[in-house]
Amino acid sequence: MLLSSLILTLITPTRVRCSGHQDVPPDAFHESLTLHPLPDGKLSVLFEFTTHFSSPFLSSELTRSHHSLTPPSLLLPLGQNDVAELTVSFTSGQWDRRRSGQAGPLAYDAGGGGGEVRGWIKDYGSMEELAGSDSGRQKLINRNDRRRTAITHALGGLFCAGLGPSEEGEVAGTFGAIFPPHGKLQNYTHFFLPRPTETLCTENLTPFLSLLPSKGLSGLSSLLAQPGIIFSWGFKTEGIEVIMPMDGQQGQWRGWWEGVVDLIPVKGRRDRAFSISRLFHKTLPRPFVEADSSIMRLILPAEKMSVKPSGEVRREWVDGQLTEVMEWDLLDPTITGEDVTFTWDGEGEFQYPWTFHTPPMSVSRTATDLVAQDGTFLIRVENHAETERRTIYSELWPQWVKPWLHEISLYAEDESKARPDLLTNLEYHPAYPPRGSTTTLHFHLTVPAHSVLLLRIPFTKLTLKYTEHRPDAERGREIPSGILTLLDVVGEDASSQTDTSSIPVGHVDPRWSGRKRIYTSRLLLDVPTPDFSMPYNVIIMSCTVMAVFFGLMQGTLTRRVGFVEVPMELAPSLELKVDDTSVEIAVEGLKT
Amino acid sequence: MLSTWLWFILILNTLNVYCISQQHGQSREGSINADGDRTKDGHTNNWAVLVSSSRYWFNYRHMANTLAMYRTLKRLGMPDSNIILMLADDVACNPRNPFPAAVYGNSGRQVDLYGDAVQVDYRGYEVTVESFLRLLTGRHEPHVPASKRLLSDASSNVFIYMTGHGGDEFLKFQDNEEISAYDVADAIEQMWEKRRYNKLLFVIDTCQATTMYSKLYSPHIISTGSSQLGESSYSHHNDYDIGVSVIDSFTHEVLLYLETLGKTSNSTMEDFFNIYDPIKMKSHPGISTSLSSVQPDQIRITDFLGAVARIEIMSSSSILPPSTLLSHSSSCKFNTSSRNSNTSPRNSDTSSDSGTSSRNSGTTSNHRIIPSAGISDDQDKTTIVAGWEKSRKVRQRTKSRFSINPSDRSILSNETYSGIRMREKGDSPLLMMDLIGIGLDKRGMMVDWIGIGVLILTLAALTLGKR
Amino acid sequence: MYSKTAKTEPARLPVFITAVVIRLALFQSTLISSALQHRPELVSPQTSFRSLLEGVYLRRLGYDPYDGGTFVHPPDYLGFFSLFGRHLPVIAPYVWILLDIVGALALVEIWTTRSGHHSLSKGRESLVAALYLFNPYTIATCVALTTTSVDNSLLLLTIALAAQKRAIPASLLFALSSRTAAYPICLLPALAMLVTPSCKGASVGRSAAILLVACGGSFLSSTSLSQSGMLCYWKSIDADSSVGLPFLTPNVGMWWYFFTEMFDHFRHFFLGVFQFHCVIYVIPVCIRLRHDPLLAIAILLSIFATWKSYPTLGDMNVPAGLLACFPEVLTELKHPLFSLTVYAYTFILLPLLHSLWLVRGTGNANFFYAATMVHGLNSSLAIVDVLGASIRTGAKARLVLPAVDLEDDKPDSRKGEMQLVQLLSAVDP
Repeated sequence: MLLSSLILTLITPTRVRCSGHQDVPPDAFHESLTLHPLPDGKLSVLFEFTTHFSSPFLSSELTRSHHSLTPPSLLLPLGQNDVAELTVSFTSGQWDRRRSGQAGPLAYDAGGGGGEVRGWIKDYGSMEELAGSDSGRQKLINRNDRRRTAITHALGGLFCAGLGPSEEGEVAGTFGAIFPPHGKLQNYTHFFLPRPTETLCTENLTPFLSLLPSKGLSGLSSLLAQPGIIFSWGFKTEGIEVIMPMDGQQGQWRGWWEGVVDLIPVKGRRDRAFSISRLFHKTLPRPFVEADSSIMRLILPAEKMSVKPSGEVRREWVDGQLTEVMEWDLLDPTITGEDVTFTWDGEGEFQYPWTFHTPPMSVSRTATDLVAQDGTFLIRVENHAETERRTIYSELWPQWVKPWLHEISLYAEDESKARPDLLTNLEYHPAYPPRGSTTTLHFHLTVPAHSVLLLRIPFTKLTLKYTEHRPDAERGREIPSGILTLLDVVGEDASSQTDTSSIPVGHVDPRWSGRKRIYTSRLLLDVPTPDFSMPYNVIIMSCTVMAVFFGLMQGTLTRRVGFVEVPMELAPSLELKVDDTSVEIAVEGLKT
Repeated sequence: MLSTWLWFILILNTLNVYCISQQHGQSREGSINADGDRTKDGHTNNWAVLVSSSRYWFNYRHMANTLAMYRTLKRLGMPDSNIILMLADDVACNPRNPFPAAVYGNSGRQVDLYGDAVQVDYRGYEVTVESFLRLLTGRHEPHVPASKRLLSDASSNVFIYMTGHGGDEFLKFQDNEEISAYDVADAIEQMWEKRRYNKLLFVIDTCQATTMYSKLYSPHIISTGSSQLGESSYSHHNDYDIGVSVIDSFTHEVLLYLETLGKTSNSTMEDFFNIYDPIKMKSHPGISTSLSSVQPDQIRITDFLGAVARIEIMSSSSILPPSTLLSHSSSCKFNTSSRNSNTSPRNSDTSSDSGTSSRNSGTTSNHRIIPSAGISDDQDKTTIVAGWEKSRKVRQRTKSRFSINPSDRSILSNETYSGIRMREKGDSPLLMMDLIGIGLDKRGMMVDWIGIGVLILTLAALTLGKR
Repeated sequence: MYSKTAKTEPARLPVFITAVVIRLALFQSTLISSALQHRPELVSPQTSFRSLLEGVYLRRLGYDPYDGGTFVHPPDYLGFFSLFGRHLPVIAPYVWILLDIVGALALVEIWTTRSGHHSLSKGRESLVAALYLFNPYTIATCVALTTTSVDNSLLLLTIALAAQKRAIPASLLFALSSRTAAYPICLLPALAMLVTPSCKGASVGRSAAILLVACGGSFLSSTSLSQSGMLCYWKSIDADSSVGLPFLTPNVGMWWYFFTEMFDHFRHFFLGVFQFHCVIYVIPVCIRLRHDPLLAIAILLSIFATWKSYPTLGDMNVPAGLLACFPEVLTELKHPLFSLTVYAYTFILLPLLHSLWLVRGTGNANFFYAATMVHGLNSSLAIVDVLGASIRTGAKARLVLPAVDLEDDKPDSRKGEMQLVQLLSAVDP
């Protein structure tokens, strides 16, 4: 009886809360597959899975079925650590900017290389009522740091990767302007932690699939759940973006997976024709029963393509270009189990293009003047558009890379002269020695139309201790990608407000793009390495030199010097018996 | 309102019955054997730590050894959440691998050991001697997620498999550091003292492997290694498409044998050791059972390499106080690691754990019975094994795995899961500096300088005195 | 004072003019200057001109220069060189040449004070200046624009003033030079001995107290008067690399590779040992060479130059210059040629092996370490040699020989020859 009454008290508020939230729209799940043929005979394949949800907590679990569209293993740690927004991304392989004609993958939120965690977390340090005294404030800041560490490590555990900071203070907090929040957040602080050494492999795909409501078993995710196929593709990126529900707004979590397939096989055919079954060794799957929409899209290239069975054609802005997009509704039962084939009209053999159309904006980074101890980063920002662009270029380095700010210079390539006027602002957040923290630099750049800017950042690499080197120290160490943030993009949704019918297909306006950031690739830097077999030898030898010096000094300082009368015949040899009392001596200090 | 309540009771009952019947079935299967004593070993759950300590592509075979063991464990029913897999390099997605996301353990490439649902817990640079020792002893930083912890208890059978390059009493990690046989022995002794295992099987495939377990001194350990002191262990064969050796001889032979076993197999460790053939294995494997109270023919292989499910029912004396009853309405608690993690328990205690631990294993539904919260008194619990067939007293437990302070929800991981509270950060061994009293921190520098001053004065006095 | 002596001694002028011309010529080639500015043998994180510029730049931008760990120069330098603003790179060569000249003049002054104003000393003045100004280490240090030159000139001025028994100005400069570099503070006892007048009633302890008080006073006043104030100074102490050794950049010393390879648990212990080793010699050397504090200063400076945490070749300049003031000690040296040739050898060996390791990548860190070992060992032997020679000269000058008149020009009349030896054991006469 006691038990039952207790359970009653437990359930009552839950029911009340459930009934109170009936005006909130129900949870919904959308999935899509986007195929984007690239000019160099490759195809970019993007899976997107989006879930809209109202409550991250399981309090109402009992009144529901066992199935929910939201993964508690992901949302619980976020809820517990007061994380409002979160993005995790893994990227492996290099995006070929020049040949693909795109500044980056279609998954606009994908990071540069390796793993990356970023998000917005509640800032207890800024809360006035809590931060009364200085020590209390420090405690709260530490608490912030602890929660950041906790959440990154928890995600690392979830995604089978070492995403957490290996040292204290490694999480950067100065990227809030680069990654603005989606909603209105107050008292939240941004955190950003790139892990350039991480790779993307099956162990990262497994948890990704298990977070999806369809679990990789049905719907589009069943095409994805084939690591043997998708990991043989070139460039790959995987990630999730979570926006927690707040102030009555629905939350959303989105997972993406994008890969780049080479359509020309090594042997056999020489044309680009492909089909779903050739790509995935499967035909179009049965839709996931809970999916509210399931769409396949093809971004039509400039060349003519024939597609069977064809879908509905729409016009959309895709990454700053007005393009035609063909769409199939996979919830339509007639298409289930079908195979869609894509062929380029009249293409017997694919002719590799001599020239490529360049993306409107791109950025690349190299390290020059390299000796093992110093170097210079050369950042090349290209603007091929008709308009001047306002950008922020950001760098984040581990503490052992130190910039020389007074030697930073900015050149326009064609004029080959310094253009300090284009660098409107520079934010520098140095790493605080001795350990752990990172150096961040934000350059506010104005890139004129049709121009190439060269930014040179000289730097020094500190010599690391024997124990701080990685096991494969001779290979070098990765530093995270640089990020070029475009401040003037308005997003692809802007197309709905403007009348696109009068604009010809293929028109480029770089502002109508969802790509707010362009990443450079990560960079491997040589570091000065000691000889790892030497510790004992060095300790012994250095100490020996020191002991020799000490011994000689001690000997010289403590011995007495005196005049000794030596018989003429003995003069050449100075071997004396000093205690021979027959020899007259005069010893310093014995004048009396 | 009433209907909801009734539904709740009904669901709980169903789950109870399901849980019990499941255990009943499984353990009855398990108890069919000749002498009936083999189930006496008294473990209720299984854990495994699989370590491949070598870096670089040419050490492909070590990754393959470990992954083959991993696959066997999963085939024998151990859930992913109970296997800690440490791979020092990523060969599956290495650019040199002609078969992306696949690792093969034989030249025919019949079975992809990496599979579709591998979960690597420690990978790359995270695999270090320190992380391995912390894993065994459970002395982690508070933020380490549950998937990277060995959450075993006094009724866990733990299987440790290590492979890499080694020598006399050491095993190399990452081509950078070594773990010595003494380190392993001390770590396992700590495990024993902290009641982190019931029985332990230690298998190692490396050169001079038997030296690695020669220093063990804790009870209830069976250990075996691929080669004797002064003897190398060799790889088995190459795959010419992959371009490197794909598996080591010892592990290859062991796996060939393990492939013949199923979840319900009654083969004993004695049968396992009987397959050792120095000619096929190209080395003389060693077996050590001197630390074990049970002879190898008295213990089944699946007691270590499988997942045994058994139920534990508390006696009425250990009924929880009402406040905890609210969250544990039945004395039979369960923690399912089923594919769908949405069935996580709803109460705050366990859900905060599931926040970190509910990595979906995607394997057989294994019901692992966990000692209930709040039991830290001296009362012995009655353990009813195999559907109330037998009852026996178990060791007094001092563990309270789910004792989270509800107010401290911001801390993600459960730091007090172990009976002994960890020293955070302070786990480094006592330094010699500490002993001789030379302070190492900034405050201590003051002491140093005073000492130095005294020494200078002494030296000066000596120099003067000589005059 | 200096101008007066310079006028009275026209023989020195060609030396100074040649030194200035050489330096100006070297500065003309930016290649040489910038190459030298990056040499680890000449430049340490504490003395680098590059990081000085960085600090001045950061301060101009409004950042705290000490935050990033790239700048660890003392706040006095930051304040002083900030005066030049963005013209610093243009003006710096002239400032550095001037500093070298001032240093040489101070050295000449030391020599004059020491030897008195007789004709023999006059002839040597230009030699002393030339030995300092044409020392390749001095030239390289000047052209590399490291703040070692500034430290050296300050130190030479301090010593010159102390030798002239001008306690107050000496203590002011001493305060400044101990603020700019950490180790000169250990010269306090030797300087106190130097500044103490030889007349009766003056005690070393009193002058040490005077020095200390004046030094502390000037230190405090300049700190509180300076723009950034005390906070800045403590920040620089905090960032100061002398004690904690946060930078393991290769240099000519014995520390960097030792602490690169050192295990973490023992790091602090050995830091203590190494620092202790540097200062352990201060008192014994002062006691033993109490007859000539100037020699004690030279010896101590050369010990610091070899064994401090971030040594550069330029640190040897002051002791080497001071040695020129002791012709009697130089003649007593046992192996001067050996020391000099090994110095010349390491001068070539150090950059060679450094580039093999870090530029060409064909060698490894052990190569450069071996070269620093040779350099360190050679310096150690040279120091011991000089110390032995100084003790012997001291003894020679002051010992009263029984039954022998040293003025007597006919020692041959005796049946034996008087020889100065180190006595192997204590004797009870």
